[in-house]
Amino acid sequence: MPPRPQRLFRFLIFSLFIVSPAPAQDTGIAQKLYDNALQLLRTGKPEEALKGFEQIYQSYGKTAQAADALFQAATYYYPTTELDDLGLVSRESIQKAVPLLERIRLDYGTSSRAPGALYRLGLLALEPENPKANSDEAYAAFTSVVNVYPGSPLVGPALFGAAVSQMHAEAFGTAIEDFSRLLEQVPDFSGAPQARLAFGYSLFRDEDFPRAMEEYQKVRDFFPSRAEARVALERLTLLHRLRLDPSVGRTVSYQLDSTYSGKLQLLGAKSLVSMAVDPDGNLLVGDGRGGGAIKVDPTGKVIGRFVLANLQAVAMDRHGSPTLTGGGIVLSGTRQLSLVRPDASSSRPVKDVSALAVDRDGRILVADAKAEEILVYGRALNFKASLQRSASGKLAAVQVSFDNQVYVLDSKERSVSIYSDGKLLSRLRLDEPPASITLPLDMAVDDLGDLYIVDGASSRVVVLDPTGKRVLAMLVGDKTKGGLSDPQRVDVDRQGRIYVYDRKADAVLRFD
Amino acid sequence: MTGRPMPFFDSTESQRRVGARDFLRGIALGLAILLAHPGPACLGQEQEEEEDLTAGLASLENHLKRGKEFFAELKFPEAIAEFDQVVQVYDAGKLQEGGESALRSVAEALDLRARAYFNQGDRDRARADFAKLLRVEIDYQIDRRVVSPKVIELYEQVKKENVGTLSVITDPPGAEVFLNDDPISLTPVSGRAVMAGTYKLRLALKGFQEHQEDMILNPRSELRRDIKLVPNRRTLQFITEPAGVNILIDGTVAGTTFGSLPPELQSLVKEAGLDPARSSAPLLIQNVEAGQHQIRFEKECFEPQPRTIQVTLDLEKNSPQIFKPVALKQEIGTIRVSSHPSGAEVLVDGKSQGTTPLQQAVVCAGDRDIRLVKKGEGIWFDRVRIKPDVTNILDATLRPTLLYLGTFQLDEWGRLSWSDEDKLLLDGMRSLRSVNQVRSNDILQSLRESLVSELQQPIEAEKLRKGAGLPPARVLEALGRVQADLLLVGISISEQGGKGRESLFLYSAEQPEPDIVKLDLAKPAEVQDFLTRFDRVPELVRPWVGAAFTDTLLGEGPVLVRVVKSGPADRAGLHPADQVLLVDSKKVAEARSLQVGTAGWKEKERLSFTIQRDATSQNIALTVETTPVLIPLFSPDRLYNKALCDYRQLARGADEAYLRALAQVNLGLAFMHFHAYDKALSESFNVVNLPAGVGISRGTVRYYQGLCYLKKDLVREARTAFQEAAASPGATLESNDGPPVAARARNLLQ
Repeated sequence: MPPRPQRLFRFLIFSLFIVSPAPAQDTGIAQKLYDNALQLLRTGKPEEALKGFEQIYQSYGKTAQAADALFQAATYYYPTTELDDLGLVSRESIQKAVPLLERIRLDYGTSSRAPGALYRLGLLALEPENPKANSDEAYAAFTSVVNVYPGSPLVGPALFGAAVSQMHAEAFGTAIEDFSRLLEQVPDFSGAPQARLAFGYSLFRDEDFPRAMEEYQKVRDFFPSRAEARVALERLTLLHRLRLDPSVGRTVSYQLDSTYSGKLQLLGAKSLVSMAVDPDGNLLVGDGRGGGAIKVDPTGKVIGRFVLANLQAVAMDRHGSPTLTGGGIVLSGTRQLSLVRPDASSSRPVKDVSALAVDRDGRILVADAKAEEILVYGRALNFKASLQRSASGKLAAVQVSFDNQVYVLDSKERSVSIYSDGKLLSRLRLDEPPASITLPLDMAVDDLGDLYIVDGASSRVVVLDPTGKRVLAMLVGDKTKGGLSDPQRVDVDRQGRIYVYDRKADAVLRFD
Repeated sequence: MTGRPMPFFDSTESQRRVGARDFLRGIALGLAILLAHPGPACLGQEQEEEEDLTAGLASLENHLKRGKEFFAELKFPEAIAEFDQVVQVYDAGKLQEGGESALRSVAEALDLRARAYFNQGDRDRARADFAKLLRVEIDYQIDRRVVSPKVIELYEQVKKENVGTLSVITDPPGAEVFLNDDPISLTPVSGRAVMAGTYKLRLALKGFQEHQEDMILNPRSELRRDIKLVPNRRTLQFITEPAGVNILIDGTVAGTTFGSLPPELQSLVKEAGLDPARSSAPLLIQNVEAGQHQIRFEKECFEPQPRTIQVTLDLEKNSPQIFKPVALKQEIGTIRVSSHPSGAEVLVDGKSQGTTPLQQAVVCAGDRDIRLVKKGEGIWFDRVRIKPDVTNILDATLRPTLLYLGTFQLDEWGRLSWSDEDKLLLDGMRSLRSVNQVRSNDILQSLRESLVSELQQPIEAEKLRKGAGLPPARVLEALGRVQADLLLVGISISEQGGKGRESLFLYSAEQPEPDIVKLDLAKPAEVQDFLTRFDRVPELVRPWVGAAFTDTLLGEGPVLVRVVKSGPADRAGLHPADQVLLVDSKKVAEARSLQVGTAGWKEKERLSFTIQRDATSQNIALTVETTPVLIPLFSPDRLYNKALCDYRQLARGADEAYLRALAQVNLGLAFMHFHAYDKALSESFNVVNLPAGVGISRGTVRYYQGLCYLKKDLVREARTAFQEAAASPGATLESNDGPPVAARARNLLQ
């Protein structure tokens, strides 16, 4: 058991001895106040309800209702219950919820609300808006649920949370242990399909890709009708293509998919200044001249059109929701907001964008072509941070991987910088062997962290492993049937199909 | 009460408590005494009555004695006065409880008073006293040696004037004779002296109708009655072949034939097709009511013979009703018994027949209690139907013994009782194959009663309501008394508003925690699910090919992602990245169909794989082998107490040493499930011997050993174990193609 959970455990045990029962009269009053506050909450009067809850835990702290009141207030501020819903809550709400939940943990360790409070503290420790976000804190909170409240129905979600927090911390070995424990102890866990997918990814990151593939296969075997089964199949295909075959010495080869119709003319696009592919293979074409974007499904059928004058860049999140920018405007879903970059004393509009990406938590990353800066915006398009500034470079592309790492391509410096949680992890040189890319125009990242770089000088697309030191595959113009001649843009879907905008063909080509 | 653990007291505490205990004991004793004895008022009344009788008898004797003294002194008035006292007591009816001696004293008093009156010249009173004397004791004999002949003459005269004689003869004799409901004697009664008067005569003899009549007996006359009693039952006569047959009439054993056939009945028996040499003597069963009866002839090892008979009365001669002789057919069968492990003693209805493998033993057909016992290793028992004239083959695996206590119910008012809502469960349990089952008996009944009594106490009832099962000491007691390994009990808790919950608790003798299964005992599906889980036979090995396949969108067919080194697939020449096109000429659509469980492959089955490798296809032959299987530490559908007992059994008695070792490892894992790390270590991981190598091997054991030490906070020992595990590169968990031990151990070492 990590040290911090031990301290938490002792605290909880100690708190058992300091809570003495309240008089029956107080309990009666507290119950009435609680029922009243609950009713106010249900009838849409949250402010009054919160006051009511506050009165209970301030004035009737020794009653059982005090823990309930704290919990209700906390979950009003922080209603998130699943890892998938991280990133939805503001910093202010987080800062209000945390002390309430901490109080339950410290003072009401024996109440029925304690495991729920601990679990939410774990989630909060993973919230991107939480200034004190820390995967170790998250792990401690989740494992406390498991160890101190082994009979709680939250054991399954807590084990899952513990494993995911270890993934955040890149401690994949521990994550594997936690996933194993979860799937062994709570095999009927409602999130088992996602857990197995995450388990498989952890095994892959632990460099045990055969077992990773076996785990993905289990998703298909145990949950054949779930959406995760399809995701697992695509990951298996990617691993088969880029890990299994190379492991036995086979060359990775791609064939042009002649059934894919990506001709711009047929799509009704006048140009392509930017493009994005979501994990399912839906393509978003940013038509600068046409003043908008066109969404195309994997069969080549147009399924959506979006209007934005002066469009410069497009991106899609992992669910396929488009984000467009151009002329200082960002269009995301139904929201349209001005893109500004606050300076020391004022703010300036960001009108010149060279690249756009959306991360797992819905944050938007913008490559400001004028300032050569990567800017990070929250879901509400509030400016968060500057990730990278390139004094002499030229930021050509920004991508976010499956595990939320940010990749920034500098075409002038011929490098890819990789960030995690805002910190630079590594910088890869593309102009060195074996890649030897002299004119990187665009970049894509697949779910394995492999890089797909368009080399404008050689009219090719180079597939590199995450270290940049190994070339896994190459799409070369004159060796593919009617394929590449002037590649400009690239993206990749979850199963590893490569999408290349070829200017000469004036089409998006798909290679499988 | 028995079975409760004694509370712990230190010596000072016990000394302090001694005085208090004595005081309380005294109070309790006093209360017990008061409650056991009647109160003062009741006590006085009984004593008064007793004193009355004793005092009365003593007074009577005193008066008689003084009367005799006065009589001897010829002080007749004084004597008469004394004798009056005696007679008054008799007249007041106070001598009914006094017995014969009291009546004798009264008779004496009357005799002497009569003589006193006679001596005073009062013949009338004397006569009256003699008459009264005869009513008190009709056979009273005056002492002729000391009494004057005139007195004797008067006495004889009175006797003649008041007494008659009665003779009663019955056919058959031996009937009880009652006069006015007073028993007189058994017939024949001859010349019995009886006071003249009117009587109701009643004669009673079993097997005959009761005879009643009114009669008048005159003095100096003899009344004679010859009565033929009318039978209302009949004697039945049976002859059987062989002897020793129990004859049941309407379900009750009426008799058993015995002896040998007398010569005069041989022809009768021969006519009936029986062998006189083997036939019994005739058995007479008396006093059978007329009408229809169900008869059943039974003898062990013979086919029972049921009959329906009609019993008719013979009013004339009352002769026995003779039935046709009955021959029983012998029913025997042969048994051939094998066991796992072998070397178990075979007992049929308690009699030893040999040890397994038992090639042949002749036993009675029918339902037999068969028990196989191998000391120190286990037992098997069951009631088995042995078919006659065939060889009955029994192949049994020694197994744990289950005691099902039943289901009891705690209602919302705290009342506890045994429930009969477990009928579905009881019916289903008949088909369980993996356990011996203790049958209902007196021990079970007494266990239940004492449990109800104990658990009805408010504190215990509250614990039940909160989900606690039986007290551990009581579980052990129950298991010990019937020598069972597993105990199953149902607990049904009713709440206010009619809501309730039912749970089954399964305990074992191995450790105190139960498996708890929540279910609705009235739902067949839920009960069957539980029984299926319970009866699950633990597997130590399963079929295995040593390869993992996954689906892919590239190419045709599933792709092989991993081959276990030196496993069947590896040795057959399959490689990672091979794509499987066909198996035994059948197209393979998805990887799932290549799982051993789904494919249904068996050990030693030969398979032909057609694979695609580097753009060429080839055929590869593979023989299915087996892999050891370890149980998961936590699986919601496992009953771990059952697993403990099953693996314990296998660890003792599996056929091969390797399988016994695997069972022992699984035993350790089952202990770990209950957090019984000490037992997991001492009974499994610290003593089991698996070879080092690939798959489930020594490294696997070291890993689990390390986990146990870690749970016990023995960090140094845990580290040593994990280091050994980390140095076992091929060792795996779960099965031979399970996750690698080394990686896990390294993680834990970090």
